[in-house]
Amino acid sequence: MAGMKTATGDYIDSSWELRVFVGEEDPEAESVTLRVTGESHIGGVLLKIVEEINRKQDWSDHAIWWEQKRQWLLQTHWTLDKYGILADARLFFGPQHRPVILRLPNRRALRLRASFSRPLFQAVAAVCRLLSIRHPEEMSLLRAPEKKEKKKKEKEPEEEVYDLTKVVLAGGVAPVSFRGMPAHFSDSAQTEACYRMLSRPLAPPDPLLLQRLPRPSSLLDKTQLHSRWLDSSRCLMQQGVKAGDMLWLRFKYYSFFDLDPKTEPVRLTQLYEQARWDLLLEEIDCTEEEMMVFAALQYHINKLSQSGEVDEPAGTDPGLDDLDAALSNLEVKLEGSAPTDVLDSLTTIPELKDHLRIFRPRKLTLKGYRQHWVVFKETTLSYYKSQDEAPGDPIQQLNLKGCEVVPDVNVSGQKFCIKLLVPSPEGMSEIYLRCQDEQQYARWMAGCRLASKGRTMADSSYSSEVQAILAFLSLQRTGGGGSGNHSQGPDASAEGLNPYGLVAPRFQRKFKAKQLTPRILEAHQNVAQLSLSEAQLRFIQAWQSLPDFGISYVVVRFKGSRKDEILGIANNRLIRIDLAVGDVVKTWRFSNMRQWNVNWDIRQVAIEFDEHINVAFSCVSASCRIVHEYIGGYIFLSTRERARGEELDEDLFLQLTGGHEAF
Amino acid sequence: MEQLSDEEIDHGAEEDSDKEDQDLDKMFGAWLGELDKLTQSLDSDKPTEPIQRSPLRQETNMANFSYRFSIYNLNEALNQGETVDLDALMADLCSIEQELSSIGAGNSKRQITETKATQKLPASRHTSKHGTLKGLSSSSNRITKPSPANYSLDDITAQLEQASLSMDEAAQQSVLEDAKPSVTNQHRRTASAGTVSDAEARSVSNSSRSSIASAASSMDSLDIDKVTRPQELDLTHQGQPITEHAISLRCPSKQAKRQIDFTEEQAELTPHSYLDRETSLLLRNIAGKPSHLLTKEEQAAKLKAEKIRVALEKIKEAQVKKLVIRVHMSDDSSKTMMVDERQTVRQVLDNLMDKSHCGYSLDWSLVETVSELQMERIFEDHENLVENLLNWTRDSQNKLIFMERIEKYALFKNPQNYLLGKKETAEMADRNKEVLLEECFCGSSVTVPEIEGVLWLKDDGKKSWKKRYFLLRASGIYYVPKGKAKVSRDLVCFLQLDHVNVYYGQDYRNKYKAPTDYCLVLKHPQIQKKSQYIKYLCCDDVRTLHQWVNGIRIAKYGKQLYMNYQEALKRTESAYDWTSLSSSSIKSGSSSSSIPESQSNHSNQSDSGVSDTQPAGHVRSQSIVSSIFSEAWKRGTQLEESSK
Repeated sequence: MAGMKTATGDYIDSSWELRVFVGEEDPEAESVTLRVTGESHIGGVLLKIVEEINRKQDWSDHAIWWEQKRQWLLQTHWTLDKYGILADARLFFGPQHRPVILRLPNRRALRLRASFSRPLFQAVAAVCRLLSIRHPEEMSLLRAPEKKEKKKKEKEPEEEVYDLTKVVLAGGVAPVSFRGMPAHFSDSAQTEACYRMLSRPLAPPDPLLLQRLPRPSSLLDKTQLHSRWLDSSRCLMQQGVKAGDMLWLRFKYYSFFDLDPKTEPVRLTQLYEQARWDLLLEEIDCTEEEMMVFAALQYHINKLSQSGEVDEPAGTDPGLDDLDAALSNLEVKLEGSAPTDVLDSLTTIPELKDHLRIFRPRKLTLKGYRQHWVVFKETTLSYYKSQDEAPGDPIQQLNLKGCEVVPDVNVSGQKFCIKLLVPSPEGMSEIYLRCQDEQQYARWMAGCRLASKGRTMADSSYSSEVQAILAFLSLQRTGGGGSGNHSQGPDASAEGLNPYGLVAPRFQRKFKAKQLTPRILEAHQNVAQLSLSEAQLRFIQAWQSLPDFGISYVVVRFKGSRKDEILGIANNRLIRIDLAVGDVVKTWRFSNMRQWNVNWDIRQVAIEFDEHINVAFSCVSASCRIVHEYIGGYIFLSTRERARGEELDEDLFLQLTGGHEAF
Repeated sequence: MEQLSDEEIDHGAEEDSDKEDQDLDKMFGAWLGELDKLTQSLDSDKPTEPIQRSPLRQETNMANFSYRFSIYNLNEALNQGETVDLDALMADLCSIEQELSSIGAGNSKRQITETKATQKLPASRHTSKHGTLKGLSSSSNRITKPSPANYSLDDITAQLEQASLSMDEAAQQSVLEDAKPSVTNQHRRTASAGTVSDAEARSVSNSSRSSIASAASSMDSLDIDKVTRPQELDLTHQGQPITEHAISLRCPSKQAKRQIDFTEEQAELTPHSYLDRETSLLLRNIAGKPSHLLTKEEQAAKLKAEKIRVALEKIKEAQVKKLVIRVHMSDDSSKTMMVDERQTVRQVLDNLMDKSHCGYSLDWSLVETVSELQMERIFEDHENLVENLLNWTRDSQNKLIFMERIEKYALFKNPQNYLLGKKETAEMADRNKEVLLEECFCGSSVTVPEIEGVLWLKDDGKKSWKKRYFLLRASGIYYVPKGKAKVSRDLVCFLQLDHVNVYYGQDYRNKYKAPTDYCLVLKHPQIQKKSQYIKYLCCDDVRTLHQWVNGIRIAKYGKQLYMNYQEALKRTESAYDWTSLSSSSIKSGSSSSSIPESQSNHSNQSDSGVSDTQPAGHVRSQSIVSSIFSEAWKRGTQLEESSK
């Protein structure tokens, strides 16, 4: 044993004193001094330290960090000699898991314990497991951007930080579900709230805040973000992250595998949030029409999320099962009794008859709206000069099946028009129906919408449709487009539609709220039937089908070129983009790639494609490690389809993305 | 309401039925009387003029429009004296006649059963079975004697009973326990016995023009028995007698004349306006009930009523129309065939390929030509044929052509020319094609190819064309306004693709003075005449044209397009026994080996110095290779690989 002494107190073996600080890298920390030899095992040293400290505590998570070498001494069977530790080594005996604050894709802050000793890939996997997000390989951590001093002076409201540091996840066991959430969230009200925050989409941001947040103004700005990614093959400690630091958790690789809206609300929601912020902060560009669809989806998602119906119905599934159920109901009912009027209403096909004002835009006519007697039956709209002529031939008869229905409503102006674009062999016939009030409008509008889908007003969704339309009208009254009618009370206005929180700031500048609201509501019609998760999925899909989706930008300099250019990295290709104009110069696909090499010394990446195409560039805005990891990561992700159902092949990932430790 | 009860009275013998306890016998009596009438008229081969009509029924008839194109085509065929087709149709008709007589037999048999079983409840089970028999025998297209058919039906019903709680069973039980449920019982019997569908028959006879013939909706033939077992709907719809009007009416021969009469009667017998009858019966019965019962369950009843409404809507949706279409072949001949409104283009194509012995190929397509607008479109395999044809106008000169078109699936044969947005054609290795297709179509969302460039746009109502820079996005077609850059935010939406189809324009150089002959047209499928809502675009070369057309197809149909292709591939492969064996195995072999190969390529490059075979081997072990052929194939490719 180390520490053998003579009677005079001289050490006679080759033992020496090793000083170990207790705690996290803090020079002021208390320290213990042990007597060790080169042959001492790390395990033995750990034991001695604990004895030396002589405090009752769970030390199982503690390990030794070697400051100079920036390395954890995790191999307990290795000797000090094998690690090369001498007496001058600065060692810290501290916990491997330390709290960090994560900025989630939904921009909320969450404090939890992350591993500081394992490679980031594993640490992220553990965090994702805690948050119950599948496929952690798609996610990674970024350093938070440097805060500008100027910002400090502005008073920033104290934000709520959710805390999950106390939650421990049993290893190995798949998290079980309890009360609709993973069991480890159901311990306290606090963690339950945290789960709600994770799994439910958040309300739209304050439009003013949206305008204040930094937005990339050029392609160059978009490269900034990607220089901050942490290295997945090294641990947090090695990358200089301290306990309590703020890190961003984001989906890094835009290749979302096996997205299942039913079983993974957290992943879906966080992905949705990331997509939403991408759009709102103009990280990704879209057209006006696309923005309206995104806004409508956000509005719809927000409405569902706030009303609390997390994922039920929405889909009145037209299946034969329903028919079955309905008929067995019929049977039951027939045995019993039923009021005659119910039966009556069953057999009569509901129809609408009323005086409406009709306007048919034609060339060279200046006629406005004219009063007509209008009959709406089945899917057909007929109108007559007057009610007396109704039994005769109508002026015109339109079958609304397949037509486009566009609301033209101004609540404050008491204008309730329905614009119909009815296809016919001769082309589209355009016709406007003007209703007197909201009630009438809602009934006719609902009928038109059903008819355009080929259904009649006998359809069970009719009354709910009428209600939905009425709800919308009241929203418009209270919402952004309204005339300031505040009599609805705080509830109604809170639920009202503020279009500025749903669109990117440049659309805020381009349009007035009054202009945006009807367009968003119009787009909303097409998505109003979706359930929460369906709507989120639709949002993500629409985001994915944007041309610029999923491209991570890096400033590089191609070999032989004298100016900086942008390299875009997508899940299937590399894109060379002109820095100044933003035009795509060239595209290379990963499927044609033969190999890539990184020269760490001169920070150059060289790639060889089929047909002897060679590309080499040095990285300017980010380290070449980040580019290397992106390429390797995408290659790794593309293997998942074939390895479906297998455990995550971490070694393969690290092989593909790591490798620079050797240098 | 009033009308309904009037009608009931006309049917006679049911006036007393409001006394629920005594109505059972009377109900049977009434029905038997009617059945007698019907079978008599059936035997005498004479059309019975319907006695009364139900106004409601008529209104719900969906027969009021457009089956004319088929008639147009058929008339044309008649004028040309193409007897071949008519012969084929006659053969169909004969088999239908046989069906009908067997059904007639079934009906009279049922009558007997009912007579015997007047008060015994099990009888009702019998009747219901006979009700389904109609559907079965007609669909199987052969003479079936009722009693043996009973057995097969028993089997079917036995299976189906597990799936759904059939109404008649429940009714039986309840009748035993309770007096009230006689209502149910009646109602069910009403349905299965087959009411006269006056409106039905009237509509047939009223419109002397043959145009409505096929249109007589088969809705009324749904009797309640079938409805209670939704699974049977398919069965019963296949050979609906009514739909056969279409043929019979158009056949000039004397025999056909007879057929008309026959089928018309049949139409009276089988389909029935069960809704009116049944509900009116109910009303009658319920009206006699103590009022406190009604008010008590009013709320629940309302709910149920809502559900019934759903059911009725669905029944209505389940209508099956059939129509006769004329398909032109590439060699200027034509075939006349009958299609069911549920049939997809794929199914019709399969039919046509079988019938014309033309050999199986991916490229067989159904092409719609709109002659007035000089444009054409290849129907997509998943589309519903009838729905599309219904857009044609009465006097349409449009044609449906069955021909081989390589454009149909060229996108999948050489995806590199369409998906990469490149200007020049290129070759690509098969494995890369697969990777490319997988990437494009198998992700969580379909990637719309980036297609953009200058196209000519025709001015509305003028024969002049203007250049514009167009871009295709998943959300529609956009153009760059003058003086603006090509950034998303400044794009102007030209068209969204939800409501339009893409057509190839033909010879627009002459018609509209187009700059080139490579034109594409975007229009709503219902528009058949010149209109400002039709958009004409002209490309500089044929390659651009095909890129745009296919890009629009991808944006519009997405993954469905790829599924169509794979389905078509499967059909073609299974068509040849031997060749399919080898070709498909090669296919699977290459797909399983090619990807790991590229895989190993990638992993080798990582400079981490790990053994390069590991990941490749790892992935390779995943691929499941089922047949010996592909196993052999794989060994071959591995050898190749290692020798490289």
